[in-house]
Amino acid sequence: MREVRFLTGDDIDAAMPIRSFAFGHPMSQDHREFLERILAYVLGSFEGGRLASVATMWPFTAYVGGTRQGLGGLAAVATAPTERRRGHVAALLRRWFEVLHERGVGLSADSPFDPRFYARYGYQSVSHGHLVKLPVSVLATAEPYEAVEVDPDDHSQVGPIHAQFASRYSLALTRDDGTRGGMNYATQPPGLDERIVTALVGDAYASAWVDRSSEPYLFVRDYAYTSPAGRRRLLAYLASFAGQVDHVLIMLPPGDPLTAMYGDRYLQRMHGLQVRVVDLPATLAGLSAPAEAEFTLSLTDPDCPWQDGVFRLRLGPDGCEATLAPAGTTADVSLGPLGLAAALFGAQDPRSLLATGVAEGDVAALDALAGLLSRHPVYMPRADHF
Amino acid sequence: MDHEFRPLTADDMDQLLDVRSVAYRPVEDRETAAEHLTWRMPYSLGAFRGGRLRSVTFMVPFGALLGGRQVRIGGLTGVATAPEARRGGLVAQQLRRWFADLREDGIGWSAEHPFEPTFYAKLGYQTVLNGHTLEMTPERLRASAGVTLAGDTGAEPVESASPAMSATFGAYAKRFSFALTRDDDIKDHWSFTFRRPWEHVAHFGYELEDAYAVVSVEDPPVDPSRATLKVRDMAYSSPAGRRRLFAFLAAFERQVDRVRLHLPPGDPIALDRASYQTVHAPELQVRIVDLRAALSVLPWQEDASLTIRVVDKDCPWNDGTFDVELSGAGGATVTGSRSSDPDAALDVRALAALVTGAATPESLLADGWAEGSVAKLRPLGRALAGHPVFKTHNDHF
Repeated sequence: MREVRFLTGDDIDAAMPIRSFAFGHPMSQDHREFLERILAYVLGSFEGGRLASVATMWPFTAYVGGTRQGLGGLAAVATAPTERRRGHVAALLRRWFEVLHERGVGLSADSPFDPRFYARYGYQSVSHGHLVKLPVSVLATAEPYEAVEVDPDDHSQVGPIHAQFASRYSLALTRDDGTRGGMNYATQPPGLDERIVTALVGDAYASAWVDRSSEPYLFVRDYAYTSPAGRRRLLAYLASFAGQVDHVLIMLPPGDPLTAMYGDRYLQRMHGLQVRVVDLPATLAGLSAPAEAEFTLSLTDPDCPWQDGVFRLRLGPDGCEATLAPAGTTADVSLGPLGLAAALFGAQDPRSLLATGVAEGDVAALDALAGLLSRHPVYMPRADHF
Repeated sequence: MDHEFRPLTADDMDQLLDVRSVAYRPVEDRETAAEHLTWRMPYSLGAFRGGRLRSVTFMVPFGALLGGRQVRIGGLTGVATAPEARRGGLVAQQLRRWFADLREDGIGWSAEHPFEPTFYAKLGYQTVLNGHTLEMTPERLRASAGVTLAGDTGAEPVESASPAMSATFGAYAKRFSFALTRDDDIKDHWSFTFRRPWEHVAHFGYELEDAYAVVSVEDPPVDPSRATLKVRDMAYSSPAGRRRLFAFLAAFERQVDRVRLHLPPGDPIALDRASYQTVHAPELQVRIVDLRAALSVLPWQEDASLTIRVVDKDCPWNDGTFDVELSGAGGATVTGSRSSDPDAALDVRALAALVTGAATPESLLADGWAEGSVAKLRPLGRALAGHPVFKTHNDHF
């Protein structure tokens, strides 16, 4: 008999070996204490009372289209070796989708080991920035700067800089909700906390360390700025590492001049990012559209039955809403959760959605949907990865 | 002694081959190389000193698609300078002449593939992301395409482009911007697709219903790796055609270790795999050579008016303050403005980044590329929203 429920302290002994086998985590006291701290975020699938699979959903808050939204961060999905291919993960995900829906959370995201696995459950891969390893010389600017090392616990200055920077994008975490250490996860992440230096450079900052595992390079774990001059100062600071390192590894947002110039040439392999709309009305609430639009959308989503149907969408500068339409309502556009996320988060332009068969229907309706977040492209900084 | 700038003639071919030999790689078969260059000669410009060719550029008025419309773009290619003449500004001088010629011909945009992106950025060219070049196992391709190995795809081998292939390409390419039309009668694009003049073996073409692929199987230089399927060209004109195409490519599973292909932005396979399987590929850079012509050919999504200050040191006709009227019905008028208080100010590269969708207005202002009103700049960034940039590597020039 299968049961899906939140883990309790009594389940930790069973959960640790499953996670250790999947991720190589040591069977240590640190591991145990970590699980004790996050029990409220871990669902388990049990077969005959025996733990078979676990999945964590971090209760993050993210910027989406200039607003703050709850974001379920799916992570650490692991199944006991003898329980694989028996539908445990599917059961866990469906339960998590219910929980998120009940809590009014519209979105979930994950960083997959294989994008096709989670695509089966509606997670759509999206572009989320460019990880580039740049020659340090290309960062040089003539902007004078003064860098001051800040205490990694002190976020009084870097926090507001991050907030202004990150709110330009969608799916960047707010880091102010206490989840997973918030800003500390950027400035003193586990395992690197003694090697990272966070420097305040006027209205910009960078948290970085020198990776010496091979040819030394500067690894920029996190950065932000609030003005063009701040950006120039930040780059000048990073360029000052010339001589100590030849290259700088940095995650650049879409539209950054360095992305435009070097995004193709110096691109590195990076983690993927997938996003899933688990509650369409909750996702649209609070967003605003550049122009008025009204249309009907048929969403085929058997994993989230509360949104499996035809919605009437009203989008406009004063707000957006999605309401379930009466049975039999004709839809202007039809798609599944993959197409919905692809359109909303700019992964596919409307004509590509139609040409590739991901969506069917009216291109104007898809244009309106795609316009919702076009001013806030997806960018997940390196330090937000989960 | 000043340099003389003039188009090359057949009498200059030996000098051209010499300059290209030292700029690119030694030309071993001069006869074949000359044959390949002949079609380009009407579009050449050389810088001569004492009768000796010092530097050469080509600007080919290719037919291309921009925002769903057929236009001509200036395709900059074959830039080469003799070693003794490098760093003398000859390329810049040639390009300024080309920009003036393009403007006279009513051409608003130029494009090129740089050896290094900062060189042409100094002359106003802006890098734009051009799809995704991926290399992956056939198994991953199959999984992301959502196709199975079973079933007959109906692929038929072809030795040259058929009318159906050409029509399929036309339907595919019109979704994108800066895709070449391949019907401009300047170059035999389709012969070039199947066999480059310097290739000893042709690529193989396969026609499917609503789709096609031109491919080669290439052995890596070192064992024990096995072959890679290189997709030189592909297109589809319907979702079913796309499925057949990828089922056909996936059928190379076990024959090849990897598949290399260039996918447009928004392709579901690229969305899945770009973070993991992207390989280096030539960049694409574009330039607005004539603001009036460049904006007037684009489809705009709404009526809008704004006054912009544009900085363009290499195209003085672009350098100034302009009143811009965009028409939601298509087209734009650009007239010189006497306003001393423009809505926004930016250089010509930032303008190209905005219009092609490489950067949002918000990013331009936040990153110091532009100054002024985000709201006023926003309509300029929507021109190509429905037709993202994608120029297949097969059409590299």
